Amino acid sequence: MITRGVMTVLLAAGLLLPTGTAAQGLRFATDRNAPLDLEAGRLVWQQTAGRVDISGGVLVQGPLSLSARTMQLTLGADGTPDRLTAAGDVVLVSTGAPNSPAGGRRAEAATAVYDLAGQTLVLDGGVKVNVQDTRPVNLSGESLMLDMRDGRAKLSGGGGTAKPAGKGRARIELGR
Amino acid sequence: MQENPETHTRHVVVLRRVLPLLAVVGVVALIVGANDDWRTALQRSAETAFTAELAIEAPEFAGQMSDGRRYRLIAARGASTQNGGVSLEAPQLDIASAADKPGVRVTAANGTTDAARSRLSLTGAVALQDDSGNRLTTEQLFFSSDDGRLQAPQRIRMQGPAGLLDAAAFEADTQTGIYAFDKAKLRLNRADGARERQ
Repeated sequence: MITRGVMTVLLAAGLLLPTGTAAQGLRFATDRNAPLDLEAGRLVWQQTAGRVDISGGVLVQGPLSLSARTMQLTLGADGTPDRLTAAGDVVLVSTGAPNSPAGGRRAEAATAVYDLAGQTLVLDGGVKVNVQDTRPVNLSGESLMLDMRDGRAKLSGGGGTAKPAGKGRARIELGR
Repeated sequence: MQENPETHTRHVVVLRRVLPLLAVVGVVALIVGANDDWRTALQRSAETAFTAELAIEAPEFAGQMSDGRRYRLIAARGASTQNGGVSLEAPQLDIASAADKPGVRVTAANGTTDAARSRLSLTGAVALQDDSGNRLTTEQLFFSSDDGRLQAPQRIRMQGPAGLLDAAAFEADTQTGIYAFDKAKLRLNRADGARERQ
C-alpha cells in the first residue's frame, strides 16, 4: 500500500496525478454575473488619483468572498472600477456545495489582485488552499490563479519551471 | 372715635363703585397671565419694537476659496438671523472647477450662514453633484469656504461611475479631492459598463 508520505513525495515530483476532487482540477464556486459588493470600515476616495483605499474591507461576489487588512481599488479614466489589490492576511472563501467539483474552498495568501475587466483573480505569496470535501485536501504553492468565468484555478510553485521534489512545486497533502 | 355718618356713607358709595371694577380687572389679569399665547404675543411685540429683521429677496454671496477657486451662493429668499448670519430658502452653492478638480453644485431645502459667511449649514434634501457624474444625497451638510471642507454627519448615498455607495457619514476636502466615507457599502459597476440596479 502506498503510504501517505510516499504519495506526497510522488505528487511533489509530479509523477502521480492526484485522485478524487484534486484530479478533476482545482475549482472554486464563482458567479461572474453576481453583483460585486464591497464593504469597508473606512473608504477613502482620491478623486484626482482615481484610487480608492479601503481598510477592513470584504469583497463579495456571489459564492466568493475576499477579505484583507487593506485593499485598493483602481479606477479607469472613466471612473469605472478597473482592478482591486488586496494585501495583508488575504483570505479567499468559496462557499460551494461539498464534494462538488467546486465545493467549499478556503485560500490564504499574502496578496491578491482581482482584474475586474480580465475576470482573473491571482493570489500570491505563500498560498495555502484548503479543499473542504469528505476527504479534505490541503494544497500549497506560491501562486493561485482563478478564472472567474468558469471557476477553474491553477496552483503553481515559484518560477513555473520544473524543480526537484520539495522545491518550487505545488504541494498536496491528503486528509485522513 | 366714631366716624361721621355722612363721611361713612360717602366711603361706602365709593367702595361700592370701585370694588367691583377692581374685581373685574383682577379676573382679567389672572386670565391673561395664565394664557401663554398672550404672554408670547406681548413679549414678541416688545422684541419687534427693538429688533429689526432684514428680509432679502434672491440673496447672492460670492467669494474665493484658499485654492483660488471661486464659489457662489444664491437662494430664493433670505433673512438675517439674531447671531448675524443669514437663513436661506432653497439655497444653491456652486464651486468652480479647476484644472484637476471638478466643479461642484450643492442644493438643499434650507440653509444658514454664520456671521462671517464662511460656514454654510444645509438641511433638507441636500444634493451634491460634481462634473464627473457623481451625485450625493443626504439630509444635512456643512461647508466651510475657508478650506473647502464638506461634512455630512448623517447617512449619505452616492451614485457615480464607480457604483452605488451607502455610508454612515462622509467628509471631504474639495481642494485636494479626497472624500472619506465611514461604514461604507459600495456596489461596484462592472468593467464592461453594466450598471447594477438598486
